Amino acid sequence: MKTDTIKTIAKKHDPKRPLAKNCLMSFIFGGSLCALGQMISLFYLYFFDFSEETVGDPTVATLIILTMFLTGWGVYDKIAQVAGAGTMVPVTGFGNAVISSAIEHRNEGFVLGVGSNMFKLAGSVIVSGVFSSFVIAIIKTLLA
Amino acid sequence: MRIMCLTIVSLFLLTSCQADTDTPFNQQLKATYPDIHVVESIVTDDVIYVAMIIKPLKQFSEQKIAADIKKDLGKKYPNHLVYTSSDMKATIEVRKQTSPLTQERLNQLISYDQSIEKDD
Repeated sequence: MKTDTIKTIAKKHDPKRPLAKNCLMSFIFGGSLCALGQMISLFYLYFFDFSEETVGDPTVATLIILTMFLTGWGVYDKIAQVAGAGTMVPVTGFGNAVISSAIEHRNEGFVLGVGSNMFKLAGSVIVSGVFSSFVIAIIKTLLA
Repeated sequence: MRIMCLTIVSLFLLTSCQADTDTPFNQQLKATYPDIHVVESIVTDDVIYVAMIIKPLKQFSEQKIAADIKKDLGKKYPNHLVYTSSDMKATIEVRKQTSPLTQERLNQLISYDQSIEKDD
């Protein structure tokens, strides 16, 4: 049997994805996460000495730490099953990726398992962030 | 669920029933610059400090709007030192200010004025 035929048959029996429902859930959960981020940001603005320019850093850090704890406790994965991309696209997806990899490889030891694998998924994000900020810093220095 | 709905409804009602407590100076600023959403100001004998929150769709050019207002107020009140800020923190801090403005407090507020160059 040709591969194309197998694919066609398999496609016919594939359960249909609830695309509209997935989009709606992502929108609601993603939006709620952003609203939570805004609340954290306002909290830092009101009670600490952060301006609007600097408040992003502690807000992002808080969201990532919160996600890391929720992933460790196994709560975040349950939310992600319902929310889909709504929990993966915001910065919380980063924390989830780090801790998920760490949990997955914990049996291989702390150095070779957790240490070398925890940034497998999130490492690319860090590298691209560091590299692009390096390039922008060079451009800014040259223009100044 | 019921409590959550009640909380949301009460929040909407309370925020919509909030009294307009703008001073005449703030009202005049809002009338002159329609892009301003919220404005708070401190006016003393020699200093005018205006903190504002710009309407969401105009926030891409909020620093330019603040600089324009600073320029216009500088022309209108030549005997005053004028400072403006579109940073939300400035609005919060100006709202908190109830006692007379000290130099130390003014310096803190001036640090939110984005038109002033800061040393990195």
